[in-house]
Amino acid sequence: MGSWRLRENFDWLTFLVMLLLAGWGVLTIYSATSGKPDGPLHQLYTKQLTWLAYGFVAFLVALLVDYHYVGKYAYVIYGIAVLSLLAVLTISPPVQGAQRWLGVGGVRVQPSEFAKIALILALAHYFAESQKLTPRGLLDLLKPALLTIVPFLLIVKQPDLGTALIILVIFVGLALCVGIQRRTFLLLCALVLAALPLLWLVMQDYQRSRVLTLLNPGSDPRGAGYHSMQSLIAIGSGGVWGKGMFQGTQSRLDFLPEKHTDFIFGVVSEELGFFGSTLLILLYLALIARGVTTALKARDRLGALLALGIVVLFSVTTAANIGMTIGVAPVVGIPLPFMSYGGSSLVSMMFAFGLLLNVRLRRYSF
Amino acid sequence: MNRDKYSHAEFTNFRRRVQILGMLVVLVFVVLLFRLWQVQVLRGQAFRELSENNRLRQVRLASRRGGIFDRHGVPLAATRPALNLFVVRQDLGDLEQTIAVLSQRLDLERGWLRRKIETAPPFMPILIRRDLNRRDVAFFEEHKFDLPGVQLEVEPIRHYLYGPQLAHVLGYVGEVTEQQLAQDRAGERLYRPGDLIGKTGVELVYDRELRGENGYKEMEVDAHGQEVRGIRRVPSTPGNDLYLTIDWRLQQLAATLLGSQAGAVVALDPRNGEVLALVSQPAYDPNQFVSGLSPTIWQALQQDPKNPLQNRALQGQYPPGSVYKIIVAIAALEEKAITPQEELFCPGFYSFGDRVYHDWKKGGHGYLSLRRALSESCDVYFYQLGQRLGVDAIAKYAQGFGLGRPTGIALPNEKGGLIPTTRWKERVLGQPWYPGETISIAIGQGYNLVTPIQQAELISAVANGGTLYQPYVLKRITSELGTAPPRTLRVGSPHIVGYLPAQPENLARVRQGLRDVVNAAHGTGWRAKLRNVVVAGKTGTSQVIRLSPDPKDKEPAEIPERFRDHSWFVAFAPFDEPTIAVAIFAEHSGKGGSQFAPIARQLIAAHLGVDVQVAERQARTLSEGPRLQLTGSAPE
Repeated sequence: MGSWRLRENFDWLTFLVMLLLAGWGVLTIYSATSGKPDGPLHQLYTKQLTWLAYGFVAFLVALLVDYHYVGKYAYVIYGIAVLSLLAVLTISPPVQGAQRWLGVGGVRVQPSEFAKIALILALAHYFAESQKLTPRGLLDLLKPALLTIVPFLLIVKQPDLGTALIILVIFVGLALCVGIQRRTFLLLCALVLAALPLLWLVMQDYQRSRVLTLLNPGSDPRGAGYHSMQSLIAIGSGGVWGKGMFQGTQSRLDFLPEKHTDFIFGVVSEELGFFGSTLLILLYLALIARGVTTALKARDRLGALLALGIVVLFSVTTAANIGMTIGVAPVVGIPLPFMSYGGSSLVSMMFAFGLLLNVRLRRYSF
Repeated sequence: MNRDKYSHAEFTNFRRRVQILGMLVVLVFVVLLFRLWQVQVLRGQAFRELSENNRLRQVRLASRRGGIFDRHGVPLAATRPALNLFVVRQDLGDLEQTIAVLSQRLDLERGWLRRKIETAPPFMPILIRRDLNRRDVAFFEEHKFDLPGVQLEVEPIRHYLYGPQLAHVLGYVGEVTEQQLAQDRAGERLYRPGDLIGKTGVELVYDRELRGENGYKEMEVDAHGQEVRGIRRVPSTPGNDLYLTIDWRLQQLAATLLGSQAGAVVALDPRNGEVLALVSQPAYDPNQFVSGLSPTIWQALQQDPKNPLQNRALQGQYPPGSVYKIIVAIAALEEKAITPQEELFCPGFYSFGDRVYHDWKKGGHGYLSLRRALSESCDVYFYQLGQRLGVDAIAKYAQGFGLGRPTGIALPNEKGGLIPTTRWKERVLGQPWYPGETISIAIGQGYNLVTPIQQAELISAVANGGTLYQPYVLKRITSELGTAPPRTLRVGSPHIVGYLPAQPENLARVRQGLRDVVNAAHGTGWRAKLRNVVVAGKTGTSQVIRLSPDPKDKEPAEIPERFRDHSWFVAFAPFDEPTIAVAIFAEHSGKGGSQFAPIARQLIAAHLGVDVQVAERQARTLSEGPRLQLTGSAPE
């Protein structure tokens, strides 16, 4: 258990920005779903508030239990995550052609959200235990790669390509920071390039068309490009200062699809304009910068790598989501951390930040 | 678990890599911010417009077209609500499926449908079909949710209460064409695609008065095309009401009397030129045009050999027949080519050069003066007048009677007819005028061409003592806007285009002859006689081809219809103070003009409120004797 003497080490800034984003998210969800008085999603923001409460509990748990203690059980946690991913594929019924959810006590959870954290834990634990943070060769990467590939494949199978790619990026990010020998790095780059066509073959039709739409926007504004186009219209029409809070016509009149989940950034941008979207991005950047310093200030390898993995997860998810809404990344189902409606995403991200602050909290403790 | 702090070198390397990674992340976010700046700041206005187009929908509120009434306020054209089918491309689900359903259900060509939908702005409702029938309405209501973007809207639509009976006066409305739209865009910008505008007849001529002004409703819609709230509503302004000079009772009677006979009836008020009735048969039902004519019906109408689309009263040009004798008589008196007393001999034929010209009456009329020559319509008498006058003198008077040029009535596509002169023949046919041709001209045959309305104007001028009024159909235009009793905006007024080139005493002599046509023994127009009212008139037959040597020997039934003669009858009444003048034209009837005198009699009786039955019996009694023998041989 951590030392309460070190309360001044608690990262109030990160905590407050996190809460600010979550609160902003609830407000935006309210705005996006209240366009029509009796709409089916009208009460969604209260549910998000409930999730926020759960998230806070998860945050506290992750914060208070010493991360070294958690690290001890990294593989156990990882195992549970893989098992839950297996369970999704075997027992859960497909929803809109995909198996992503698992019913747990009347709540639907998305195991892939937690699998990401479990992987970070497992990889951080592995790298920290194995050797010093010195460049690795190909053979050294075999085990962590195996740790990554299992959840990756299980998530690809769902299919949820966006999340699967984030799993990959976590591995790559951590491996790069731990260090990779030059020739191994070049070899891996070549491998990735060679794998791209293979990836194309594995992709579903709708996924391919989304990539194509990104390359050639407006090619099919009513079909594959519809989400992209409406999102661009929403964001662009916000202009410099936005249409005003609760005044977003694109989102409130349903033109913007998935407005309270994956495209919530569009709602903020439409209603608060360039001013609001920039502010939002700066808040995310602040969290990322803070996370990076946490990783650098961590007192040991496990802490550093844990913090780093969480920062990678957080930045990639954020960038991919925003990039998708403004048409520079393909449309994939990735939520905007802390903002998008969704229990699994919010609770898991708050848990991750609990771990992050845990690392920072205990940087001086012995 | 390794709780050791890592070595300094290890940490420095690690920090360097993390810093590079951090910078990479910052770079990514800078790219995102740059893109946001591009989308929101640089292109914000364009996207703002796109979002407004998404959200705002303008729906046209069609104006109610002004009503058309007869002179006594009987409604002739009104409006009724119709359900129209629109498509909003932006709201469509599956374009292909929608096209398939619409084309099948409404019998529309797919290519046309696709063009229509794809060329319009995505948010603009496109009119696909006007005035759906009840079964289609039921179908589309039922499948409302399967066919997003397909909407039904109510629009007031034109309804012609009496169908074909007024077709050639009222004309019809139809959808504005691409060509008209293009013209309009260059000019006043009055029309929008899908507007109904006057295409012909009164609807065309007074379109501006009748159309009113469309309003619109602006509303906010959601992504499913459902109205969320109204934003603005500019109500439409109904069009002005039109009161015509037409007397519906007379019009209907004329159409009924003419029946299936192709031809025209024009009745004018000789005191001012008001058109009391204007009938052209066969006609079409103008209601067919309102909701969009199907290509098959349109083709059938256009290819119908009887040409129902032609307004014979204004566009049909025929030789005037013996009605022309009125003009020749005036010309001869004015030019002193004959005196009222001088008698000419009619043996039943007239020889000129090596040709023999027959009179319609085989045995001839014997010696007769102008008055009897008119009443019995002696051809030989007028052959001789023609010879004395020459074609150019006759033409001069014909032009003085308004012939050879359109009357200028405010209805579309009027023809002017033709009055030949020697110069005309040299110019157009490149031939000299042969004196023998003047003989035909003198009895209204040959190159002469007149329209029924010209004949009506002519007899109307003879009736009123010599004033040529331009015929007109507009009595007044009223507006119901703002005032409790309708406000009169404009009143139709008489327009004098000239005076007959005739001394009053000469005109009086001719009028006496016309009175005898109907009232004297042996008058050719005796069938027009009324008991209480003195009717005057003139019969006429226009030869379609010259049948030699004596066409009268042939029974009409033996001649193919298209070669049969046309018949004319013009009349006015009461003789002293005429209030009605009529011209009746029967195309290829094969009968003499006298056969159509009863139509004039009935119209006059109806107009003056006289009991026509009594008069008829009277006429029969009076006509006993020689006339009964003549009836079979169609007096000219």
